[in-house]
This record gives sequence, C-alpha cells and structure tokens, in this order.
Amino acid sequence: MLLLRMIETPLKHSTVAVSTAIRKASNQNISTKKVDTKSFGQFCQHLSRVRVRCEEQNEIYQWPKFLLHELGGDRNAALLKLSTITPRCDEYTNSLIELEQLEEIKSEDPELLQMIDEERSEMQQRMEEEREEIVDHLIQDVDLEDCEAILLEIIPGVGGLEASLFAMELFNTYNNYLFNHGYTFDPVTFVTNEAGGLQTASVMCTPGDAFRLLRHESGTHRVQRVPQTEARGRIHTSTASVAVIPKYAAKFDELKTRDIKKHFSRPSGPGGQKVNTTNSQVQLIHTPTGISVRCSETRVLGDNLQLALRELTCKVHQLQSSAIASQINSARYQHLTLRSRSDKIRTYNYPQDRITDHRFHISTRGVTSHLSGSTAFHEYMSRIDAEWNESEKREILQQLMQED
Amino acid sequence: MQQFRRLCSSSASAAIFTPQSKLREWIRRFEQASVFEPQTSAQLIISHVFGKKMISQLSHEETLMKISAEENARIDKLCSKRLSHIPIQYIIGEWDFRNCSLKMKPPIFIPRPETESLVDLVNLELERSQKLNFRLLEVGCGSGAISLSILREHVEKQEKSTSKPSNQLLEVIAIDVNEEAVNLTKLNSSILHLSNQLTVLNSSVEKFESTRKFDAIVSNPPYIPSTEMNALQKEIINHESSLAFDGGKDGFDVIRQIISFADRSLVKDGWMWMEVDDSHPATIANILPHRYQLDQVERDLFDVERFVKLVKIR
Repeated sequence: MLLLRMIETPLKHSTVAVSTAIRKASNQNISTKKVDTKSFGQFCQHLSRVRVRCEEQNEIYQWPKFLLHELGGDRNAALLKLSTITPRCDEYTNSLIELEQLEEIKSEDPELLQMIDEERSEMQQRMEEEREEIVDHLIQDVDLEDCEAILLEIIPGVGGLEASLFAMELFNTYNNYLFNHGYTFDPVTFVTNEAGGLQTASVMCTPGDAFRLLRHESGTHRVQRVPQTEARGRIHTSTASVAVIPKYAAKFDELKTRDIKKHFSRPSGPGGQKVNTTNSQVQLIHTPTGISVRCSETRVLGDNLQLALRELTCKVHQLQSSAIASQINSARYQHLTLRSRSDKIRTYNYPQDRITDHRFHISTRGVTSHLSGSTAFHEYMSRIDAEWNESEKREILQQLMQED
Repeated sequence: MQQFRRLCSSSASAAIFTPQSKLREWIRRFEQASVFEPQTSAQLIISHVFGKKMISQLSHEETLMKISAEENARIDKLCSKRLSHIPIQYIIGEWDFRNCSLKMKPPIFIPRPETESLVDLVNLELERSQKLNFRLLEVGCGSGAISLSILREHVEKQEKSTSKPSNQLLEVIAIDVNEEAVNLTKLNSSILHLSNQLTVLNSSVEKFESTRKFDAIVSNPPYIPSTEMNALQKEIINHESSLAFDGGKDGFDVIRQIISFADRSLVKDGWMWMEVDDSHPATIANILPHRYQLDQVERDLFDVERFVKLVKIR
C-alpha cells in the first residue's frame, strides 16, 4: 500500500542499471523445477470452480477423474477436502492479481523501482509458500499415511551363487538399517543355501513409516565386482530383486477364513496326544488369488501361523490394491505402486566404488559403507526420497492441471 | 555313489567339522534309521548345542565355523539319542508352548501344539467372567504348560490394562498323579516367576479333596482309547509316560473322574474346558450325566474337533 502512494511522485534516473536489477531479482525466483505462476494461478481458479459447481449440482456433477481420485475417491469426502483447500487457492489468485498489477507499474524512479522489486520478491516468496501448501494439502502421501507395516522381500536374480551372496548382503544391509532405527521386524521366511547365500527372505517390519524410504528399494539391484569364487579376477554382473510391499490399515477386508487353505508339516490324522511332532512349518494358500506363503520361523505353530497370515494378508491386499489402481488409472498409480521387480533401479559397482540409482540419476561413493546399512545408507536413501517426492508431486500436479 | 562316499570319509579323517557338515551328516543318518522328521530333528538338536532355538538363528558364518571337540561330541551324543526315537524335546530338555519356554523331562508328557488353543478358550472365559476372585483347577498338569500359560498371560494382560479399576484375582491349582510331573511343573513355575500364583499338588483327581469349590476346571486328560495305544509313534510308546494319555477302554476314564470331581467341587454354572480325543465330541453326550450340558465344541488348528466345554447346570 505504501507503494501506491509513492507512484504519485516519479523521479528521474538511468533505467539500464535498474532493469538489470529487476531481471536479477526475478531470476532468483525462477527455477526450472517449479510450475510457472500463471499456470498455477489458472489451476487455482479451476479448483475453485470445481468446488462451486459441485456444491451447485450435487449428485449430477461430474468430477474431474484424477482430482477426485487424488482427494480420496469418495465424492463427499473429496468436496469436504477441497473446501479446505480453495480458500488458499483464492488467496493465491488474489496474490497473482496483485503481482501482475505490480509488474505493470512503469516508472523511472530507481527508489520506487527498488521498492517494487522488494515487494515483488516478497510476494513471489509468499506465493511460493502458498503454492507449496496447496500442493501439500492436495497431494498427500496417501501411500505412507495408511501404511501400518511393510513386507520386505529379497530374492537373488541372475548370477547363480554370486547373486545369492549379493542378495544376502542386501538383506543384511536392510536388516542393520531397520535395527539401528528401532524398527521391529519379524522374519517370515529365511532360506539360505549351502554357501551362505540367500535363496529367499521376507521380513515383516513395523511401524509403517519405514515405507517412506524403503519403498524406493523395490526393483532389481545390480552388482558389478569380482566374485569370491572367481579365480581369474574377472568382473561379473549379478542381480538381486527387492520388493517392498506396504500393508494398509483396514483399507481392505481381512481375508476370509474359508479362502485360506492351511498346510502343516505333520501328517494328517487325529493328532493331539497321538502325535509327537517338532516340525512347526505352516503353509497358507489364498485360494482366490493363488498366493501362497510359508513360515517356519519359530518352534510355536500358532506363532508361525500368525506370521504367515500377516504376510499373506499383505500380499493379497497388495494385489487387490494394484488391481483397483489399474482400474482407476489415476495420476498417482500411473507410474507405480507395484513397481515391476524386473526394473533395474540400482547398480553397485565395486571397481569404481560407486552406487548409482538409475531412476533419479543419483550417485554416491562408498559401496562397503553403504551396504553396512549405516548413516551413508540413510543419507543416500533420503536423497532419493527427496528427489522422488519432487518429481512425483510435479507429475501428479501436471496431470491434475491438464484436466479440465 | 562310491566315489561320493570316499570323498566324505576323507573329509571325516581330516576331522574338520562345522555345524553345516554335522547337519548334513546327521540328516543322512536319521533318514537311514527311519527317524521321524529327520531334517527337523537334526536342525533342532544342532541349533540347541549352539544355544539357539532354530537353525535360522545361526548366521551363515557361524554355520561354517569349525566346531570344538566338545561341541562335536555333544552333537553326536544328543543325535545318537535320537536314533533310539527319543523325543527331541527330551533330548534338548526344553520346548516352547505359546510364549513360555518350558523344561522337559522324560517321561513327563510333552505339550502338543493343539493344546495351545485350549489356553485361548480359557482366556476368553476369564475375560468374560465378572468374578473378582476366580478359582481354576487344572487336572493333569504334566510340565505345567496350560496353567503357566494361563497365569502368565493373565498377568501380562493385567499389567497392560490401565482402565480396569478392579483386577481379577486368578487362583490356579494344578494337580498331577505323577510326582515327577508335580516337580517339573514347580520347576517351570519358578523359572517363569509364577510360583506364588500356582499351587501344584500330587494327587489323582479321584482322590483330590478340596475344602473350597472351584469356579472352573481345565484339562488335557489322558484320552486315547487303550486299544489305540500300540499304533502310536515309537517316541510316544517308548518314552512318554502312558499315564498321560491312556484313557481306558473308550478313552473317557479320566474324563469321568473329572466329572465326578465336578459333582462335589465345581460351583453351579461352573464350566470345564477339556481337550479330548477326536472321536469324543460326537460321543461325549452319551456319557454325560443330566446335570451337565455340552455347551460348546471347538476345533484345533488342524481343524479337528478337539475341545469341549461342559457346564454344570444343576
């Protein structure tokens, strides 16, 4: 408001220096990563329009598909949520108008121009923050919110013995990491081979916020090094496949007992006092989907049954959620949840002592340190998560903005 | 085949043993001797020698480490016992039941996995009961598995619950006809710090006199019909005390005695949860006096009808 009064008394000064200053100031706030202000402003107006029309037309209103899904899928809840977001959108639209007015001010007065600059910087800063807030409220980390546990699975891929050894190393990495961060984990299956490599392992881990960083580990990890068994010092490439499957709280129904077939190792028959058995292995098969899980982690049959049931529930829900996802075909699911296990996501190169993530093109050094599951590991994963967060939100936002 | 054997014997003379090599060796020997569950047997014994419950708890490095002469001798000693079909639980001297680790001693009856569900059924009753003082009797406690699990879980539940203003006081008395079983139960009770909650007495249910009545009875009584005893596993016939599972002609001998005891010492409307033979749920109504009602039948984890609830209605 101070600025408007100043306009009445223009001053005479050189314009060149000032225009450089202006360009500098506006450059500071331009980032190739950010959505441009004007487009976002239009998006805000779009959101407000959606709300108004939805309130007017009620049941007959046709929600933009992606937006509805992003807001949770339920029409009433979505409207409620949108209503908390639109006030901010209106503020953003107003700020945009003011910014545009500001930019239209033509003046030769350097002091005034200086003040305009400062005001514009501040405004753009505020609008940045407003935009971040709107985006944060609109695009929430639903995957993480509802997640109450994760199932971490590792199996060796290509490379025979060396692959199984690598799979074991990866397992230990995650094991150490989870342990150091105070997560509880129950091994559900853990089968090694004679050489000490891993044949298969699955671990149930709580609480679910472990999903935040570990979800980016799903996919194929590749190692390039001279194997222990290699006599001639040649470098081999082997792989291990990791899957990180979230378990959601009560989003889906508990599995029906009649859909689960139980198989025990003890011979069938009367049992009870008539049998003395020490094999407590349990196998569960979910007949509708064919998913099967085996567990022999403890000496107590009931405990193995519980562990197996948790893993089975997790896997079935995962399947159900991806089935629903492919039906909806929303912005979010369009590029993942059930990331294909065969996607090569990371390479661990020993000779170069480098780890590279192929999705986000983030590299770091120190393979051994990384694989110990220590702070280096955590830092690397945090970088990947930050990058993913950025790109994910950007993509979803683009999708939403393209809708009308 | 011949060549393979020669290779093995040459490594034997080299006398370097690892947990892994001993595992392979004894699995093979158990298979040759037709030992029941050869792989599990070898795994459990060898893990035990190294202080673990399951072989998966030994890291890969550990399974490849050279073992000492003492460890080797101990493995061989324990595994040899298994060749005589001695139950694993007796060989390693312990077994798990729900979340209790119990000492095992021949010939005292080894708890079966089915019986773990019986504890769930009793826990449910205790939860539902409005009684502030609950007096429970276990008939035929053996190693103490049932009573100790019930007590332990009762204690844990009370510790967790902050909302209940008045906690239920649970008194458990366990009896067994075998004095050795009484001693074993007392030992396990000490180890689990439950000695002052559990009273263990040496008596048959027939001869047991109690001045105060009981609110409920739980039991895994001997229930196998005598005629079926011969067909059982060598582990059971040769090593577990038949007192624990011989139920007489129709398997109901001890169950009848428990019902007689209930006549004199169970409160009216008191319940009895028992594990029975798979043939019993269909026939138990025939032996029940009219004062008792077969209230419920439940299946075990293997989907076999295994547990009956009897209620004293008069």
